[in-house]
Order: sequence, then C-alpha cells, then structure tokens
Amino acid sequence: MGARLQARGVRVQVRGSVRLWDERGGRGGISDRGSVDDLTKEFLIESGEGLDRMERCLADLQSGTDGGDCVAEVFRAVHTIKGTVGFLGFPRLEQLAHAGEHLLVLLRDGKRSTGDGVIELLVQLMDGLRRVLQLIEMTGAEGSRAADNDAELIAKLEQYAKDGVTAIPAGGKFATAGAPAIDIRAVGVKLAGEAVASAANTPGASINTAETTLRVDVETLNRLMNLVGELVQTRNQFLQAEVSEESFTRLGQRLDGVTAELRESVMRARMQPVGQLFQKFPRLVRDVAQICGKNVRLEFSGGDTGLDKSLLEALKDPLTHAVRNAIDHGIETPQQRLLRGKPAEGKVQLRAYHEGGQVVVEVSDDGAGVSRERVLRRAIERGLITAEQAGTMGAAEATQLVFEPGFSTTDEVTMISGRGVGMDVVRANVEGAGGSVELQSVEGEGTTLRMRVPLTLAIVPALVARCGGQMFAVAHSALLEMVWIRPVEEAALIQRIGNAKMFLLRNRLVPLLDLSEVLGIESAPSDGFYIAVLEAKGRQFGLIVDDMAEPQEIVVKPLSSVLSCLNVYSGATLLGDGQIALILDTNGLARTAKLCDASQQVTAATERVASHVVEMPGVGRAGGASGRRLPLLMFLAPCGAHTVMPLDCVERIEKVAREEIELLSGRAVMQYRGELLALDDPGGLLQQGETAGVGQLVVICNKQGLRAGLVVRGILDVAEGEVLPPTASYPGTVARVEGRLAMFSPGFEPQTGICAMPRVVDKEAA
Amino acid sequence: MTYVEEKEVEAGLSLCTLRTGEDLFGIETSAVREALYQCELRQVPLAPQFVAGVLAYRGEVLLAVSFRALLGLPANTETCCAIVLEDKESGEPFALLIDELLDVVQVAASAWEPNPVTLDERRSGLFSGVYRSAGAPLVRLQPERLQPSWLTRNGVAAMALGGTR
Repeated sequence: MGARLQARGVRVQVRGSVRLWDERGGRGGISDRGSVDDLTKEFLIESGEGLDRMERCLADLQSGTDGGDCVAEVFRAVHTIKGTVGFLGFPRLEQLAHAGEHLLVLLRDGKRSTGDGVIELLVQLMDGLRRVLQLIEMTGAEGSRAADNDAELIAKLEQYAKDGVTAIPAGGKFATAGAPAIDIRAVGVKLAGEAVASAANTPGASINTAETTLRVDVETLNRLMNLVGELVQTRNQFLQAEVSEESFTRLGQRLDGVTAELRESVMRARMQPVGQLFQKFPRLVRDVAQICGKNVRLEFSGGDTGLDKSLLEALKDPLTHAVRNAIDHGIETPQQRLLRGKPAEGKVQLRAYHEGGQVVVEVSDDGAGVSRERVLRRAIERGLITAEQAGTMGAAEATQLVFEPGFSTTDEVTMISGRGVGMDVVRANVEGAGGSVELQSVEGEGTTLRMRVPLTLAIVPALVARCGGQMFAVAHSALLEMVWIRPVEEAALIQRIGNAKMFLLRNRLVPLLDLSEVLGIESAPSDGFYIAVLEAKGRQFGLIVDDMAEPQEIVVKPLSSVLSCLNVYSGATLLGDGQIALILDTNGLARTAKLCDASQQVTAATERVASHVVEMPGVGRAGGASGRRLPLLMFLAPCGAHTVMPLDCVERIEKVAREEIELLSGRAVMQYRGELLALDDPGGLLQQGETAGVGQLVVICNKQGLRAGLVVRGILDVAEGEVLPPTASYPGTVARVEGRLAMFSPGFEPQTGICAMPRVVDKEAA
Repeated sequence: MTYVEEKEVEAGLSLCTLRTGEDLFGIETSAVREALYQCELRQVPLAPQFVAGVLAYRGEVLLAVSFRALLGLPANTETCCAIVLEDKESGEPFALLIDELLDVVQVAASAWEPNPVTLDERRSGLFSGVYRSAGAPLVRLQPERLQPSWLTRNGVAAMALGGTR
C-alpha cells in the first residue's frame, strides 16, 4: 500500500533569523512556472523587504520626520539589490540599481541636497525597481519589450547626480512622470479586483511570495524543537507505562502541559505585528490623496499589536478599501474643510489594539461622515429599502445600509472607489476571517470603521450543541446567548406567523430557525430544548437545538470545498472523544433562512451602535470604568438585593446539595473539582437552612485572581449594563441594567478594566 | 488470484483490489495514499448524494465519497472501510468508502479489455476497462472520475440518484 510522504521544503538561513517556506509558497505563484529558482526567490523576498523599508524612509523624508539615517537606509536597500543582482544575471535591474546607487552615495555623503524633487525621483526609482522585480517574479525574466525601458529614469538619475538639478519641480506631482501615475491607478483597480476575487472565494487568486513566507526567530524554533522533544519523550513514557500505574495521571498532566505550551508557542510564532500591514499605507494615502486633490495626514498607533499571519493577510484588502474610502468619500476637499471650520488637512487614523481577546483595527477620518439623507436616498434608488422604511430609520441604522451589496453613495464612479464593491466586500472579507465590522459616523465630524478579528483562526471558543443525535459547534463570536425553553413555556415564547416561527426574547420578536428542519434531520424530541440566539450580518436570529454540551475551545479544521459551498458549515472539529462536530456557518444559515434582506428592520448591531454613536476613540478605555458598558450577571444577593458582577469573573453557576457544604472553623467550604473552595455567604443564607431540600445556588467566580464561591439567593439574568462611578453622596459603584440600578457585589467592582480590584481603591475613590 | 502469466509481470501494473457489492475493482496502487480498515464516519446533512460523510484522518477532516452511491447501490451501514486518495484538482485528500479491501495484485497489459458496450453510462464513466480472469473480472477504476471536484462539476451526484438499472 503506497503511503506517500509529502516533501515540505524548509530552508534555513543562518543569519540570526530563519525563514520558513510555507507549503503554499511552493504551490503558489512561483514554482508552477518553473522558471524561478530558489536563489532568485530568496532574492525577490529580500529585495521586497528592502524596498518596503525604502518606502517607509522616503515617506519619513517627505514628511520631514527623518530620524537622520533614512538616506543611509535607502542606500542600503538599493545597494543590496545591486550587489545581489550582479551574479543572478539581470542586467536591466543592475543598470537601474547602479544609477540609483550612484546618486544615493552622493546624497548620503551630503554632496547633493535631499530636496523634494529628488525624493520624487527616488520614489520613481523604487517603482521602477518594483516593476522589474514583479516581472521577474511573474515571468522569470526582467522583460525585454520596448515598454520595459528605464533609459529615461536612468538619465534623470544620472543628471541629478551630475549637476544636482532635477527635471521634476519641487513638491512635484506625478503628472510629470506619467508612468507612475498610471501605475498607481492600476494598483488601485487591481486591489479592488483582488478583494472581489477573494470575497468570492475564488481559488487561484494570485499568491505573492511575501504573503506565504514568514520570518521566524531561531530562538522560537529552538523552543518549539525542545517542546517537540518533550512531547516525544512523554509519548515514549506513555507507551511503556501501564494504565493502572500511579504515574499515568501525572503523565497525562504533563502531556497536557506540553501540548498547551506547544500550541501557544506555535501561535506566537505565527503572530506578526499589525504595523507590517500599516507600512504600505503612507504611500497609498499620499497617492490617493493626490489623485483626489485632498490634503491628508496619516496617523498610526498600536502597530506592535500581534496578529496571526493569515489574519493579517485577510485584513489587507478590507483595510485598503477602508482607507481609500476614507480619503475618497470621507475627507472633504481643502476648500470645503475650511468652509466648515476644519483644518485644511484631513486626518486618517489607523489604530490597532487588543480588546476582549480580539484584535481591533480601526480606520477613522475626520471627514464629512455618512449623511443619513444621502444614504437613504441611494438605498431607495437601489431598491434596498422602501420609502416608508426609510422614514423610520435613524442615522445609525441608515449607516449600516452601506454594508449592503451593491450600495455606493458616490454619484460618479471614480478611479479609486465607487464601483459598488466597497463596504459589502469589506464586511464579507472580515467576516470570512471570523471577525466583524462596525461603522460609526457622525455627520460632519467623521467616520470610524472598526474591524474586529480573533487573535487566531485555528482555535476558537465555541459551544457544542446537539441536534438529532449529531454534534454541531457554534463559534462564540456569533453566539449571543442560550435560552432553555421548558415545555410549559413553549406556547408563550414561540409564536408563529404562517410557517415562520418567532421567539419572544425580552419583549422583542426574533426570527427562529429549527436546525433539524434546516438540515432535514430527525430531531429527538425531549424534555424542553435550547434556543441559541445568534447574530449574523448585524441581525439576530434564534436557532433551535436539542441540547447543549460544555463550551470548549475547538481546533478548526477546514472542510472540503464540496461541503463548504453548501453555506451551512464553516469547518469541522474533532471533539475530545474523537467524534467530529461540524461547525455551523451562522452567516450561511441566516442567508439560507433569508434573514439577510434589508427589509429586516431593528437589528442588534444598529441598536448597539445607536447606544453609543458619539463614542470617541480612546474614551471609555483610558477613561476608566465610568460610563463603560459590560456584560453583567445579575442575581439576588442573600439579603434580597439586586446585585451584579462582571460576566468575565463568572466561571460557573452550580447548584450544590446542602450536604456538600461543610463548615471548617466557622467558614463554609465545599469540594470543587478536587479543590477546596471557600464560600462567601454575606447574608448568612446557609444558616437559615431555607435551601436544605432544593440545593444551594453558588456562583463560582474569579475574585482578585483566586477562585471563590459566592452563595446567592437566585440568578436573574445576563445583560449588558452601564457602570456608574461612585459619587459624593453614594460611595459604591453601581450598574444600570435595563433601566434599573443594581449594586456590584463587593470585590467585583470594575475599576480599571481588571476583573476585581482591591477594595482600598474604593476608599480612595470615595 | 492471478490475472497475469508469470513472464509478463514486468510489463504489468500494480492494482489495489477492493470489493463493493458483488463486484471486484482495482485502482492503481500509486494513487492510494493509505488504507483505512475501519473508520468512524460522520454524516453531513444536506451534503450531495455522493458524499457519505466526513471522517477524521491524521488530524484532518476528510470528505468521504461513497462508492456505493456512485454505483447506485444502497448504502452499507455495517462496515466502514476506506482508501485515501488525492483530488488532483484541488490538492485535497479524500476518502473513498468501499465494502472490503483486498490484496495488491499485478495485472498484465495483455489481460486488459475495454469496458463492455452493454455497461450502463454511469459505470462506464467510472471504469477504464476490465482485466479478464478465470474467476470474477477485475474492473479498473479511473481515479480522476472519483474525485469530489469532478463529481461536483459533472453532476454525477444527480445521476447517482437514479438507483440501479
């Protein structure tokens, strides 16, 4: 039986860092053509990185933020290309690099000044080098057609080197250079095209060498190797050990530890700073702004936020779209801006930060914002909504309409944007990467597009549900809550209009899907069932499942394209017992159920956005706890008061038989998962003995980093609440949940975003 | 069982033989990545007819193509035996569910006959000729016709719904 081994090339380069070739690299753009050897491939990657650095430095030089070594850095990049290209035999590239190097030597030594004109010239040089490199990557040769001629550029470089005069006026526009201007437009169009292609999941989209390779520190690889060594060792011990042996449990624990560490190390190795993604934007912003005739300044922050390499790639197109949109549609022309009392120069901000186990990448501008009237008018024109619906829509709701396919508010199609493939593609791409998009806009003040993506795609927290005897997983990112419906409640909570089922959730009707009906499987009728409330494309819907199992972190395995095109499953996972659970594609399910037409009105996302439209970036995180909204568990304290604690702190809610709670030197304790757990019983509920027969509710929670149990009278709800800071008249932190006030359980007051802070802070605040 | 005279071995071909229903089939050994003598199949609701489900294989989740469904036979729930093949178009491995896996045999080119003209269309598309023998004939399979990507494109799924002739 022919078991085949797949050869996977791993090349190691000993220069302080190691480069791993992704498998796709072999299959992708290059080797198929068979014309580019390993050495050239290496050269292309290195040169690409050099040119990226060069681009950064040129942007710094132009904006006057040169740290002093920019010219030297540019020189190094060009010099390296020239040096390497000599023995690879690309004379055209060599000539161009030589001319550039000659000029750069003079600039570096201060013999020529680095005026605006020369920077334009260097940008042209960079474009020229890039073009040739692209040609080499695509065809294996550097091009010999009449158009592939750099004589003009070389002449300009040489002329400047000779007499320090450039043909390009200072502060020059690309118009004088002709070719690069067209190039930029071509890039713009190409990127949009790529985004469409990847949104449609077209295989064979161009794979760039740089996208499929990753630089990894040798140190990281060594650590991985050590862990693998330990894994093998543990396995060997397992093979020798007898199941009955005492050491078996210990071995299991060790295996668990090694696995967890290995997983984390691999994930860390895949993490790349988001700043890599930001690098290309100064250039893009400058070019697009020039074409649009606008003054735009670009600001970054959080560039060192780590993100999985594959997600970084997935964010590239949406981010490009968003930045282009911000400049083309968002920022006004300098004249308009001055008329509105804003500085002539518009500002686009790119921010990245971690929030709640996710990475948020934000594009915000201080432009015109989204106009409710224009959006609604366009939506009616395009038949997305009716005039009556438009009348009832608020600004926040209208804003969400820009995510509808085929929506575009610009009146004319420009080179940069306005082909109607904008925001819906952005949303499709980000959601495809397991993330979500939200848009906040204040007319006249600006727009913020926020993209949230998970840290990694490979492992996601999910809930495993059972339906018709089969296991299905739902990613937490799409799951809002689970509701258990008892048979007696069914008639009151589940309502029908014709065949359509609706579910009454906190005084709102939510459309309901029965998973067994959708999938056409036999559902096992049992005592009650669960409704998973899901959110897809900003719309809520309920999904009926038979039963639910524990939430767990699942490793996502891709499914064959035959199955993923069903639009019902987004992947599969192996459960602890070796069973396969299919991961439900909530967006696909919503589409299947036709939940996604724009006529669906009040939606979860718009409500959420409406509640804090004017939230400015930064406020609410740096500003401490006040006014912050967070999910809370609301319960009845032993004294009968409505009390809340942040949901993050809650580990489990247990119903404990009274006999299991013991008294140790006056303190109530219980055994929990093999540990001793002290119980907090502020109201003396245990002494009252009310709960002797029915069992005592205990909230297992994380109190100041330690596990603790809190005795409660009853559980009320899980809801989002607003945190109100202490005031002079009332010293405690209070939450407003669904219109009423509730006290924070002592020790669980949110102060600075950390779960629970020492109470000393309370006194100071008071 | 031999389908070859001794002296012709050099010119022969190595086939991995398998049984599904009453018939005997052979597939090039080089096309088979691995044989799974027992596996746990997970059904996939809404999947095309030719898909038996998915199964776990070396940490991956493989699509399982039901050979019985391709032949128009009723599903076999008793055994789950599969060979792992590669879909040359998509590059993904997939499993072909069969009833029983038999030996690897050498067949001689001279023992080959084209598909009988009386064979129904669905089968003749899957087979590339027959090796005659004293016992049951050995049908040679066309691995590329078993690939999920080919099956999806050519709507064999729909054909397989027709049942046996």
